[in-house]
Amino acid sequence: MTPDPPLLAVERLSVDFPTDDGPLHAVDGVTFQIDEHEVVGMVGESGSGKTVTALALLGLLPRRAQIRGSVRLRGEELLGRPERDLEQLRGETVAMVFQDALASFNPVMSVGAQVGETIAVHHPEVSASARRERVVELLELVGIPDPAGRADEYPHQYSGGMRQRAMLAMALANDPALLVADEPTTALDVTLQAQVLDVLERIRDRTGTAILLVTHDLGVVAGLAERVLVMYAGRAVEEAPVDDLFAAPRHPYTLGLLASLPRLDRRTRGSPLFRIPGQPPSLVHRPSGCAFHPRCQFRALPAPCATDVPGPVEVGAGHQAACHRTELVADVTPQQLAIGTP
Amino acid sequence: MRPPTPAPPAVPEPEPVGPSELLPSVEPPTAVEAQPGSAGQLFWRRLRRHRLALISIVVLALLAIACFGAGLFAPYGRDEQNLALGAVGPSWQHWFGTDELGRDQLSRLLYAGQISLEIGLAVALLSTLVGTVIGAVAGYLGRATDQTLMRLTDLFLVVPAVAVLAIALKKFGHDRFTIIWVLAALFWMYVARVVRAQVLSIKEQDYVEAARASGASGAWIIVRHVLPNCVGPIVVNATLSVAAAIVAESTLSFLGFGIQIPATSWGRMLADAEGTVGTSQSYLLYFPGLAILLTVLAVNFLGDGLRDAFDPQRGDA
Amino acid sequence: MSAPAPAPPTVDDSSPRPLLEVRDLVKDFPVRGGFWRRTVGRISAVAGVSFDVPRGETFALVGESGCGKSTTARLILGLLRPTRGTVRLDGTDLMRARRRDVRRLRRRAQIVYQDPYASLNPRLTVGGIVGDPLRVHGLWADHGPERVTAVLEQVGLDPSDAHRYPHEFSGGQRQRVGIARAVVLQPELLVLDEPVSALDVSIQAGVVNLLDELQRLLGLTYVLIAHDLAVVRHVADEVGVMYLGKIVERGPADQIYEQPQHPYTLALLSAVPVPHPAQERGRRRILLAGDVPSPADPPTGCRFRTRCWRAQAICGEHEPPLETTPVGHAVACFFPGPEAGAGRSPR
Repeated sequence: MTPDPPLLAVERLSVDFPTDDGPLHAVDGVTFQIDEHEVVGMVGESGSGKTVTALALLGLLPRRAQIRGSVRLRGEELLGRPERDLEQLRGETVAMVFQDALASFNPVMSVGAQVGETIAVHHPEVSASARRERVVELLELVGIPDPAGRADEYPHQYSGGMRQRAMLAMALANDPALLVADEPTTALDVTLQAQVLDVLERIRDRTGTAILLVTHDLGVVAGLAERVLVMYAGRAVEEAPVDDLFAAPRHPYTLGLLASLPRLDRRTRGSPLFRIPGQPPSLVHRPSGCAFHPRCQFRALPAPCATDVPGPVEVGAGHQAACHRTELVADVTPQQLAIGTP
Repeated sequence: MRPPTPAPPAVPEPEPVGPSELLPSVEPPTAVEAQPGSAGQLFWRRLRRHRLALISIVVLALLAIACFGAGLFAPYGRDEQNLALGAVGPSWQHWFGTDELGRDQLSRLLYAGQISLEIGLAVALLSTLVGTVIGAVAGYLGRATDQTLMRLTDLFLVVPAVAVLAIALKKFGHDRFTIIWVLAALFWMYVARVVRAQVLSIKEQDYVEAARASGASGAWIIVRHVLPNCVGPIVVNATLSVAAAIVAESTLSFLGFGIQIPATSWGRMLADAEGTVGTSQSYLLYFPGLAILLTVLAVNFLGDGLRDAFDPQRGDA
Repeated sequence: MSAPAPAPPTVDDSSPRPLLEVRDLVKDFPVRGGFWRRTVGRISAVAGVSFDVPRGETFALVGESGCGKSTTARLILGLLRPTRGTVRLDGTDLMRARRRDVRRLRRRAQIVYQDPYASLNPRLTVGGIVGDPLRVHGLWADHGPERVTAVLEQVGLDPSDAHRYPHEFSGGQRQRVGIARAVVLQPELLVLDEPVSALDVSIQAGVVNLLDELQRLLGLTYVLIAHDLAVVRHVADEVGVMYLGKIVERGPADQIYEQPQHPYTLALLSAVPVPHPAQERGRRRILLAGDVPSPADPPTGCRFRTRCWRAQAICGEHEPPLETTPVGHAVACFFPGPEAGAGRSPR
């Protein structure tokens, strides 16, 4: 018997944007999948392609974007589908929340009405009372106290933290199979971030919704994700279960990234932080071969690192790294790099 | 009815910034790579892409050369009459025909262009200068100074332009200097507002505060930091006001308040050709009208091109 | 409500005078309303802040948006006039200084900004930007170009790029340009307003290292405004936690991080995600109820009480003074202590 297709299967996804100097390779050959109920973190810095990938999944990229590859939702291809089909899916099977979605609240409608609107649109057959019940259920799920009373209040009567929670409630209204959260904590104050993380945890623990968490914040990913995908210069450079990724990364970029983080829980003052030399590359004029090689301390020049784009190498259970030198990387931990003992 | 999906973040037009190291909240995900060169060089590069603007520059240049070089190019004198010939349509000897005094219209058009263009340019320059100074001072000093200057601006805006013009011209004469001054006095307010708005926003930028922190005086900051960053809107506005001034002058002259004979401008020529619509002499009207139209269009296209060249973040082309 | 007596700042009496002494700094912004734009209220952005910074050390002000840390930074530099209180730079009261002395004082304290895009004049070359302070003070004639070259090298940039424009550089490089501009006058005090928050994580380390190195090399004293607690821990010697215009906890960095006492500090520290899966999964975050109150209408008594799980009647009646506790650093709370207590209760 053929196993069920994964919830989301992305295969060799590539996105190029035309520019005067040539195509900008925002995403290049990214392959990954998300199973039902899984929480996957996609981390990378700016220019890594993570946000463009997330937007590509829902067909939200501008028309000039040149997209290749395949994105299959439960076996059905999404790329190239007409807008109407995608609209059906959005909010129903796949929900997306953006960085600062406070603007998605209409100030003259009650929060409950707005959360319920998503239901009404996709399921007009649901009665008003059933809808209301569901709304209260959702508000309680995201941790809003006194949900029945609060449902009738207006956005301005909610605190910032509660609005963030309500925003997530809206996304979950139709019990989507996949929630894509794009930088849900960036630009938020720390205490507000805590609220958002709390809701995401509740969603993870209490619903069956799979979550794709797109962020640059490794701490957020550490607490929430089961599996992590690391992006660099438009390519997926490492994929691993979360504990393995942090304890024993096998791609030099991941290793360097982890080593360069200042720690909240440790005294690091006095010695310089580890830094990855150089800068993220131009996405128009990418380095040949491995995009990270100009900054990599493990590189072998000229071959293969400057000549061949590394494919994924299996380095452990569920752990892949797109690198020619993973065996060397295995000998170094982030802690060692951080305190300067190679 | 669409489901209330949260609005996706606008993926903006690529802008020339360096390999990005900024967090997504600051940097668009599709940034183009940095292009070397000063802001000036970048500006020319962007302008060159705007074909209409380039064509307009050429057209305007040719027009200017032809008009200001009328002494060289005009086949006949400005006032050279040929009473025997009378009004004749376009022909090989007179490309644009003649009026009832037998004066060659092409030549008259070129000489008239001198006046019209001169007025247009002078008004633009003067009003831009005055408007920039007032706008910059109001914007930078703020508070009482700003209030006072803005009320003054409002005062000028409220005045009924045509009436004032008519009175001023009657009182001070119809020569082109008066026209220039009076028109400039009616245009500067628009520049002032634009400049003030620009200054207000630039004033809040960190680099202005950094200059203050390093001890720079207000004047230094305005000249070195604020005004250079206002250049874009100022130039665009100035360009567009050339067109506006030409039209204004034409209107004035057409109404009889502007240029008086024996001098002539395009507007004057229009006035002189009044009543020829539908007759065999309508060409007397069309050529000056076309000249004005051509100039105004060219100036507007150029203004568009300049605006895009100065400010690349203008959304999808 | 009378101002509480300030806690003695943590300075050793035997050591020389601190470079920066801030006492009871207050800054109110008027709220204008009505047709005649009368002052109808006041926003107390900074409501009585005191701290000292010894020469060569780094004092960090942490807090969330609206707590007044950026306003404090501007007050220290004299870019804003305080409503009350004093700022002394090496003993000289900035506000009482004569006009011509103010200019000279400006040279001794500079600022580095958060946003590497807005902090550099796009119309000037990098060399022009870094050289501008020299020109302002008439020092350009005295080896101006060489100074610019030297300082560009110090911050890790190639001096031959001095003719380039800001948009040709990356965010991290632009930040270095901003740092170069700040140190070209050889100041003694540098106010760093979120110097790395707008940079990518992998670039932050480089800039942080640079700031460290410059501090050692040039003997700089730093006042660091930041919200990234991990970066602060790495860089700061002493930390002041701000909430709604007041410092609620202040002391040596290690003590603040290892033995926090004020409930707000506890909440802050518990909310920062740590890049360590096992640790992160096991943490219980403190979730604060409600929003930060409006600075135009702060709560009576302790400003934090509306969100505090330890709040009792006394908290609404009196403002807790910033006092040294047995643990060794200053806390402004009637019930200071390390345990978290109540946990999750969003209101």
